[in-house]
Amino acid sequence: MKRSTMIILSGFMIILISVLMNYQNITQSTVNSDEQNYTYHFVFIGRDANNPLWATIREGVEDAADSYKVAVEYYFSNEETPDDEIDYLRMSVNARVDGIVINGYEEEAVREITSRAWELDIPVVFINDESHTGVRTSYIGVNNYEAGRRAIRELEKHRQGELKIGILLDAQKNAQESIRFQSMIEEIRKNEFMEFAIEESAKDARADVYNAVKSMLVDNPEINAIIGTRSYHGGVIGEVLVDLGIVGDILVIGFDDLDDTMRYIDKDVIAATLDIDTYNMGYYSIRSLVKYKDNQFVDDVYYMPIKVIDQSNIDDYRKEKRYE
Amino acid sequence: MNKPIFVSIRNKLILLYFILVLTTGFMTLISLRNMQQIETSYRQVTDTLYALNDMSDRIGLMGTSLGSFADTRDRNYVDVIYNNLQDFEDELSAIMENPFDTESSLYLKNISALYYQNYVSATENLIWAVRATHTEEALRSYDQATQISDYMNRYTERTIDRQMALSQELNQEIKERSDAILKNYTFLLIWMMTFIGFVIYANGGNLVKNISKLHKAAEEVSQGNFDIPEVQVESNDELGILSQAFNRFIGNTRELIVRIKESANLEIQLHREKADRLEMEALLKQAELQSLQAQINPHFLFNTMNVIAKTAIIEDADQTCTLIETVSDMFRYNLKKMDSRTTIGEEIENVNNYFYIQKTRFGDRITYEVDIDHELMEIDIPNLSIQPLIENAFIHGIEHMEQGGHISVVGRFGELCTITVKDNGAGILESDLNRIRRGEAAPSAGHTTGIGLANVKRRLDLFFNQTDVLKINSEQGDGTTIVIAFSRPDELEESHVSRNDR
Repeated sequence: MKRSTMIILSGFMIILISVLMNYQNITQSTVNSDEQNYTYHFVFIGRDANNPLWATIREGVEDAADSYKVAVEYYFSNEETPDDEIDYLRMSVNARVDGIVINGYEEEAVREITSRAWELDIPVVFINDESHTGVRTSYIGVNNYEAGRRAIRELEKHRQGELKIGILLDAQKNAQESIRFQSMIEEIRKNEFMEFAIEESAKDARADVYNAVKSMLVDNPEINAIIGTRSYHGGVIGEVLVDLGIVGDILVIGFDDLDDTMRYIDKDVIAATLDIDTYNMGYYSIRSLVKYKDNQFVDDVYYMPIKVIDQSNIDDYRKEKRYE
Repeated sequence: MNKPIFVSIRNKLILLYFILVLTTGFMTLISLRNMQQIETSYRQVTDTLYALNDMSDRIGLMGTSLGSFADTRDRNYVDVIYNNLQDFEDELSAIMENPFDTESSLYLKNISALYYQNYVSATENLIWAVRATHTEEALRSYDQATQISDYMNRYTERTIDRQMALSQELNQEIKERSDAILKNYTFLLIWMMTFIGFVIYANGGNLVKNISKLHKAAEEVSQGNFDIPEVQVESNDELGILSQAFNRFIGNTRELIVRIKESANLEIQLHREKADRLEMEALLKQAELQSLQAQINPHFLFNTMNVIAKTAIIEDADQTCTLIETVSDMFRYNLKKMDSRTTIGEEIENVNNYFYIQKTRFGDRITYEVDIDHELMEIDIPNLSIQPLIENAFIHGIEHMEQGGHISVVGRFGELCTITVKDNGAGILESDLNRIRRGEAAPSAGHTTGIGLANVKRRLDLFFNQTDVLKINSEQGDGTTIVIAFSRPDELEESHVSRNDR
């Protein structure tokens, strides 16, 4: 047989075999039989799976679960039914799971359930929001007092004259937000060039926030600085400024690093935003539970460092975001 | 070029067959296995869903029986409660034997924990409290049990949701797999088509080409043409070997044919020579016979002649005596074996004797002269080949002349030796001349020896292995010239010897 014939024939065979091998890979699919070995069974009770903040936290939790070989049961309530979370917390405690991660609440029910958990030696880690009523193993999240102060200091850094400040709050203002708000007021009072003008509350819906911001600006034309305390506030404020054509007149400070907010920082609509590493917040919550179960020392409080993102460091931030 | 390894057509076909069968078979098996696997998964999910549903119903039943018991305090319900618990435990453990994904298994673990660590104790508490008519405790336990069963239900629902989602995934996967199977079979089909196409192109083409080469060559051979170029077949299968064998066969046959032709030629030559010799012998026999016919008891004749010669001497008739002796010599010469050779000298001696007798007979009516170069004298010549010519001259030419008949015999030696017999007689008739030239015997004979010109001519031709040794030229009324012409004797001698050796 000729040499070229041999080469072509082996080419045929290679194509056939590679396709068949590839085909075999397709068959290696498993549904319902991928139960992994795990050491502990933790429950993660989050809020609104579609919220980018919680999605990021979940990523951190998932990665931590992978690296610590623990199984995590996810439960997400939605904003309308936060009681669900407490209910699920109670269910989990009754089911004697190995540990629970939940957003903090200042509610009597939480105290009762977490006490029971404490009795059953089930560690409970609060994230994002602090719960002083609950019996906790650890709190991992933002230092709200510090966050409020940092927001005002950012205003100070960017201001060019005297500031009349409007603060946008959530309608369901919880203890943490109160602390944040309080620290802002305190910091404003210390500064002779700043004056607190108005606080406006809005429900957790874009349309509400939009209207609130608009009315605040229209009703109080003297305002030349706004602080948005929730993650999605920054984007909406930027939108209003663009719509009203007053970009550049108002100094804006946002919270969190949602894409909208970041885009407005790029375009100099928003001066700066305060962000904590939400991914690692999720990651550390699982790490704390594992540490507790393994009888290692666990910090009572772990404040995620607050980062300020403005035009000077936004590119670096984007590059090194996460997995640091 | 190194010699290719022999691979028979059969093996090639078997290999092709195996490749095709194995690929299709392999593909079919994988596909079937694939579908079987997903079918199992799907059935598992459905079975689990049914079982979960049953379990959910069971939780409801347990609640109902607890409620009924709390309301009525009927002890019969205790059995019902415990039966329900037992059934629930069986169902739960049956479900948990199935493989699950992590999420579902976590829920089931929760259900199990809720049941064993809360529900059972709550139920037992309730039964105790009802029996003890401890209403407050009974209510508390009932609430607790209801709450726990609510939790269990919620976990069951979540498990069902999860399994539903999985069955959704499975549906998607079934679709993907069917697509993949279709795609792969399409690929296989195209692959096979190109593969077989290539194999036919690379191999089959050669096969057909080689066969047609062999066929063309074989056709030539079947028409007897062995003079064809070698069949060039480059193939490592039977055709290669076949063509080699074919080429060998053709080569051998060609050689054989050449050899057969040679030996056939040889045989033909041998046959011809044999025929020549036979003819010669026949002619000699004929001559001999005729000569014998002429000798009526030669001993008696010679004895008589001797007596006559003696008588002539006694009577002083010397001339008569000489004549008779001459006749006697001539006859004796004629009696010699016809096939023995003689020399021209002896033959001329005989001719002289003949002339002497004829001179006695015809007297002055004839004159003759004999002039032979002496080199000719020792040359071999067939017996009785010149005398008949003289005799012929007498019979046909001179006999009827009143006077002036002349016969000359002239022998010349040279490249071409000639013996010319010339007379000035009547000449030979045209018809007779043609007959003699054709070599046919004369119808009548008046010769002493009975040997005609045709016989002489034929014998001379055979003896010298030449044609036209004897040439006759005759004009009506103007005499006849007969010339015997042959090559110089040394050559003649050689050819003669070589012929006899064969």
